[in-house]
Amino acid sequence: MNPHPSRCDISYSLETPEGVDLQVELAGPVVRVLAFTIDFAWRLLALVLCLIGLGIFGSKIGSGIWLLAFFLIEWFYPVLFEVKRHGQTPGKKAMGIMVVNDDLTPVNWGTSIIRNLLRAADFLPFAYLLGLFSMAAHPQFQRLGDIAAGTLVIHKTDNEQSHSIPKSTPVPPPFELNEREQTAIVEFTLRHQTLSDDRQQELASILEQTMDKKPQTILEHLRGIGAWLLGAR
Amino acid sequence: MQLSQFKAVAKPRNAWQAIDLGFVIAKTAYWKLFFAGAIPAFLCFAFFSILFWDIPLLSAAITWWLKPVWERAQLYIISREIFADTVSLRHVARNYWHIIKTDLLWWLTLRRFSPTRSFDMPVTLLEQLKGKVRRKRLTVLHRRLSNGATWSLITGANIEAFLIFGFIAAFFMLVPQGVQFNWAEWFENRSNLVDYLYYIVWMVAMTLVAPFYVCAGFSLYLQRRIDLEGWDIEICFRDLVERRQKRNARLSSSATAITLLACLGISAALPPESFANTPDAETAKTETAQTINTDIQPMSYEALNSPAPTDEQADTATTDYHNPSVAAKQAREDIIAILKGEDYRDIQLEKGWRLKDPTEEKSPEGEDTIPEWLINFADWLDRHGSMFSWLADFFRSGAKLIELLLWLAVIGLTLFLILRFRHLIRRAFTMRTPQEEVEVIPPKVMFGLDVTEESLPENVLDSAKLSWQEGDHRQALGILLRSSIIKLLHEYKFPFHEGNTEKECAEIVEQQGKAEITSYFWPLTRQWQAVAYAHRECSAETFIHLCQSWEEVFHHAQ
Repeated sequence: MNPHPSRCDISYSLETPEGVDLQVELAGPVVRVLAFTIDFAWRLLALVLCLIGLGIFGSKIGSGIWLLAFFLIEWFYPVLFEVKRHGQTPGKKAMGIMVVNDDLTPVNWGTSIIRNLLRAADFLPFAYLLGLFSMAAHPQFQRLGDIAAGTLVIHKTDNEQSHSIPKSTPVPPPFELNEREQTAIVEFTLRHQTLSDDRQQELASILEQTMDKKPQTILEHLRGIGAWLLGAR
Repeated sequence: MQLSQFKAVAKPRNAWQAIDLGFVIAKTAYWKLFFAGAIPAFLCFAFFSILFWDIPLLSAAITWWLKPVWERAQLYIISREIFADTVSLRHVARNYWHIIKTDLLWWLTLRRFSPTRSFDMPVTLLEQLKGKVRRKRLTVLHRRLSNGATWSLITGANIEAFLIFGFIAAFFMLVPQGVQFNWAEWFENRSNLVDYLYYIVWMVAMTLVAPFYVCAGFSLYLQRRIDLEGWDIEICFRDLVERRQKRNARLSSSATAITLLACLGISAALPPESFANTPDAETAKTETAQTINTDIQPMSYEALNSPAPTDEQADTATTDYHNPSVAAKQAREDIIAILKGEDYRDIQLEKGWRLKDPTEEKSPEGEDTIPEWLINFADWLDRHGSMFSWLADFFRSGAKLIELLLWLAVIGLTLFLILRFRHLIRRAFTMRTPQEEVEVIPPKVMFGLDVTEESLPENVLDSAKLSWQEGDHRQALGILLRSSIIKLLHEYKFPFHEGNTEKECAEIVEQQGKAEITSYFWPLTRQWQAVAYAHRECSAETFIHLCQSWEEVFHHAQ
């Protein structure tokens, strides 16, 4: 949870009726523009292939079918992928983002069709100007289609690289820690290879008095608590 | 730099998330950043335009080239704003040279085309690193997220172009319908003014995007430092220390308050000198001196040395605060009071249009009746039946048709259900008579043994015993096993396959066969495996026992 709502963050929190806190990271313009570019390239490729393939039908029928294909690909390529592929078009998948409803449920046909048909509005006056302005100005990075359909584009976070736990004897925390403090100590333990040794000692010494430890033992002690919090016994 | 003042949430992020955070950061001071970049850029543009009026491209190109300078001021502002330190534009203007001077030539020549410009700029401006030290620092920073800086540059440049197209398109959209626009003429005979108009649009697009680009790069830089220095951890740790200190302070203050309260209670009911032995006595005495009733005797020196209060006295003294039953009663009263309060008596009135429930639309008798008009109509039909006989015929034939259709539907549904659940039906069928199901062609060879019916010796037991006496125990057991399998295959119709091993055969027998066959076949299989594969000896008793059992099991078949 964001402990200071006034602080800058891209996270979006939602409490379900069951009292479960959900938190996602919203995706902003840069990553979305790149995802759009990838999708655009795929669409272009599909249309060019159609054009070549339909050459055999002769110019009139061929161009008729091609226009139909153009219509379908342009408007339903994103809809189909978003509904059938967990909110991810190929471009979004490549960039690690996905579309969800603003209550964090998966998009359905209705919302996906609305947000994609309204690309026409975002495109105005040209080259997605309104969409870009809307995305930049909106606190949830929503473009007009997103606002109308009530959808969000979020980062699909995978658990990144698997960290190693430093060798230490697990110790239970000396007093009750809240969720944020637990996360901090776990992060401290897991990032022992990224943070320099001096810096680790420096960080650990912040808690020296609170934990009632000596400077030599506090680092080891914190790692022990981290290991304990990660489930080691 | 005070981390506690850090205005963004520090936590691990990937490059894209850091760039997005940069957008949020940019929005906190967007217009200040915009003007910090736009004012000098437009001044520069205007200056060179006046100087070289005939070459519009030149002033635009110079302004574009000097982008790192404009960005410096923006970075300076946001790097202070992010630590809750407000910077006025006037302050920036006064210190402008100081802000932009570090490594300026480098930034305007070689580093002008660095794809990670916005990511590297903080190292120059905020850490003031130059030369080798800077390069070393950059190699550390570039290990992660620098890719994101490149992509944000590419995207930013493209968005700039999009904005230019968008603005121009918007301009032409607003041209009234009646106005004739001669494109060719416009392009061929364009004056410098039109060119300048275009470049101004470009400048606007450039300055609009710049704050986002600068902040995206700065956010990437911050993220890298968060990763390397564990800012998120430090902030949390400091909060933890603060929380503990506050808690300890509160605990100790409430502890003294409780003792004080207890002392007060006791001293109010008792002569205060009774607590003279405790260290709090002095405070208690002075406190109670003001509140004490007149009927309580003034303390005397002798009373100060009197013994501590008895248990009984202590009980009465602390009733108000520590008696659980009283506390519970008080709590219950509080709870009832709260439940009666406004928070739990929230009555909401909602008005609006709702769909009615059709089941409520019943006749007054409360049952479904045929409507009046239908009865009348039927009566009327009945009375004029002869006139409408052809109609009646038609309806009758229609009824026949509908009946036929319904029957077809029933048959179709039945067929569909049978087809749909054919596996279940077949399984239920085979459960009862497993032998009928098996139409597998029995294999000819299994684990190297010939298992055709013709190969069965006429007298199985005799040939087996003969082999045994000749000392060929493997052969003897093989005959027993082979004959058993042949019998099982051809008479009991067990579905053995060519690929089954002995053990699998035994398992099939166990699943489908009778108990007596199973209880014979398992030991036989094990014995065979022991002799044939493990080369262990088989005792004569076992063999004789197996022969006897064989006769018992397969006797009727012989």
